[in-house]
Amino acid sequence: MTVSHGDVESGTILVRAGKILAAGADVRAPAGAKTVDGKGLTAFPGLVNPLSRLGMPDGSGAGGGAHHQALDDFNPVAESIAQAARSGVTVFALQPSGSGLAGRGALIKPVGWTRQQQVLEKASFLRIVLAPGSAPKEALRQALEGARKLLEADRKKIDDKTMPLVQFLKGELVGVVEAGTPAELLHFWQVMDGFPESTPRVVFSAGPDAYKAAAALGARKARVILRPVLALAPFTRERINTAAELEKAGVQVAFAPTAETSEALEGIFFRVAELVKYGLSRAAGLRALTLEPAEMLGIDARVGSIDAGKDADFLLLTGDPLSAQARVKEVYINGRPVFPGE
Amino acid sequence: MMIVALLLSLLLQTPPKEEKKPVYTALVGGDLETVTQGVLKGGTLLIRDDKIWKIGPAVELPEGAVRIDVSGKRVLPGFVAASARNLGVTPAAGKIADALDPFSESIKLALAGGITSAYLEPSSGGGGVFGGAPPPAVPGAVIKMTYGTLEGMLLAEPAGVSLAAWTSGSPSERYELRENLTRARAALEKERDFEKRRAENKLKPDEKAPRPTGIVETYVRLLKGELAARIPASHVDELRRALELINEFRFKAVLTDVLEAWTMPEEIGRAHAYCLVEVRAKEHAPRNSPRPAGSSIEQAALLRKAGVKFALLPPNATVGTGGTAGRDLLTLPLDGAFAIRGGLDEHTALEAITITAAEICGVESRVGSLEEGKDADIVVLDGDPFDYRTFVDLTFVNGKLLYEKSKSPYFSHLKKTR
Repeated sequence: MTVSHGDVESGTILVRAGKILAAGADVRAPAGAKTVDGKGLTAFPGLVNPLSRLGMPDGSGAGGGAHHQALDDFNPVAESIAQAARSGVTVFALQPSGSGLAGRGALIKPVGWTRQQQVLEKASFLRIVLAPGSAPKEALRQALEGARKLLEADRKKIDDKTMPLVQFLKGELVGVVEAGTPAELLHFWQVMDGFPESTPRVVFSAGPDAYKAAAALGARKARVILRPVLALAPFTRERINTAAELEKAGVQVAFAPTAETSEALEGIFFRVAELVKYGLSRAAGLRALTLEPAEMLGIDARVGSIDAGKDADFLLLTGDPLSAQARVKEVYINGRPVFPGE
Repeated sequence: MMIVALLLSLLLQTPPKEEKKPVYTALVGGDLETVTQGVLKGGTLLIRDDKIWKIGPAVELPEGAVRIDVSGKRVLPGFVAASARNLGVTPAAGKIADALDPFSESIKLALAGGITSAYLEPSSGGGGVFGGAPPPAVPGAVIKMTYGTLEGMLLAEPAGVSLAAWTSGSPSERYELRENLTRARAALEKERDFEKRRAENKLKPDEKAPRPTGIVETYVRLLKGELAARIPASHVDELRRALELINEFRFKAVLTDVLEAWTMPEEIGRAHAYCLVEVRAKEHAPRNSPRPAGSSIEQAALLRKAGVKFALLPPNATVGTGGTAGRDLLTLPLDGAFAIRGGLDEHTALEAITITAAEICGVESRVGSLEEGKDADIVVLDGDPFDYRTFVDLTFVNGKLLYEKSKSPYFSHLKKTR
């Protein structure tokens, strides 16, 4: 299952030096190549978790400020990292602690024991946590205002603290914007409407009640990270499939696991299966675990699908990933088996 | 030269930016209760975008107008809650503009009750668990029930300021309040003097307009009539104390939580103060009271007789689904019915939940009646507004149909009882 261009029956993936050299039905292994027999198995791109706290200290932590970097708090030998790899996560977006302008996050592969081995991009996106009330809104507006002034008048004065904001306004640094309630989305847009010349690339992280803002999100062609869960209509037990509602409104959706225990990570396929049962398209559901988050984070040229030229990050499953009977049998990162291991 | 002229003419010829086509909605055949201009039976109300465009016995409908047949129904201005809590906002410090939650379920419920606007005080304005007066510097705002969008949701902010410290604060808080009002009066005089000298070209070089800050600025706006003060005053002593301040500083004042206003309506009328009347509030007069005291079902009627303007409120100025059913804003017209029970005429009761409530909030030029040019905030009822069996059928805010009983998860299953 390539995710990018459909499924190939009985295909071959040819890997060289950590990259996919070729993938398809008519690919032949050159002489001397080491072969893995995948007969009866399903190859699927490695999972990309767009909202991760793997190896990070518990609690929201201190943090805060655009100059802050998640990587500074990161423990590369945390046991949970290897666990995540065994569950099929091959890239995760490390979120910095803190609220407001929390800082910059890193993109990491759960392979090896040092940062050098693991880090894909060290300051890859800016995390912004929205909160209701005048003070947080005004703080965001003023920070962006300051960045705009520097950008227009005094570029030499741009420093570590303001650079991420300048890059965010120019669309060079993705903003991962956490909106606790759908109303926060509207308040965020109200702030951003004050910067009409900016071209930010925004990815929202929203709660299950984001379905309420589906129309507004669709009109803005927004990209949204959700947890793969069903919402309940207020005061009822009536189920609402937020992901399906957003898909219908033309919103691109990615999934982040509900937690990063191996139980939650391994259960993510079944959660998505449930959403597909309740109306999300199967293609969008599979994409939301792989290529969609990769695109949102700007790393789709490297990961997210089984395509020639991309990193050889993929899973071998005993069946269709969404079927309840299938399990992850092997996990490859950069062409090397991290599970069950060499 | 020629080229420039040619370019100019080309520029001038570019068609103006394509204007958005107006959206028309017509409510046809209903009894239009305009509140300010009488009742029009079987008339047509035409909405254009977010405003009331035409009202008449037979209005010609523009092409493409959405026609909604409301024959046999009553068409009224949306109800205005002159005071509300926890409605359409998240609890957050700061301005109400930044705490608005257009996705709040409370808005859907308010719409089902026919409420289209409400006056809110910021959540941080509460006195806290230990009581005491709320901080005076946080002004209130009027919001609209625009479910799903911030656009047009904030109607007025600041719209009012609480002077609760005057009747419920400590002596030092009272002292400070009066001091600040005195400072505001001096600042206002300075400002007027500055304007006068500017008009006469007598300003000193580099002289700048005086700019009061903080609470004094808010009070200057109060003295200018841009805001209304809200003073809780239940009993005669509090009412008298409130009137004293109003008569001294002459500002637009709203007496809230009034209980014994019925015993002194003329005094209130002379101060031109408004009242917020909770019709169902009950308090027995003390035994052997030497004067009339306690609550009276006739309070609204007696205020009316003395020419005092008032808005009506339910016992619980929120919208809820739990224990407050029938006692919250969802059934605001019923409080009109209770005032009528106490001798008030129907028309004033209707005004007290529409145009007078809007006037108290300072938004009467926008909402509170059905008039051409006003905001299209409209409710369609399936019966008399003061009949306990009446339901809201449709609610429009800013010209948008935001509530339909037939589609409501809360009310669609309920049939009107004959």
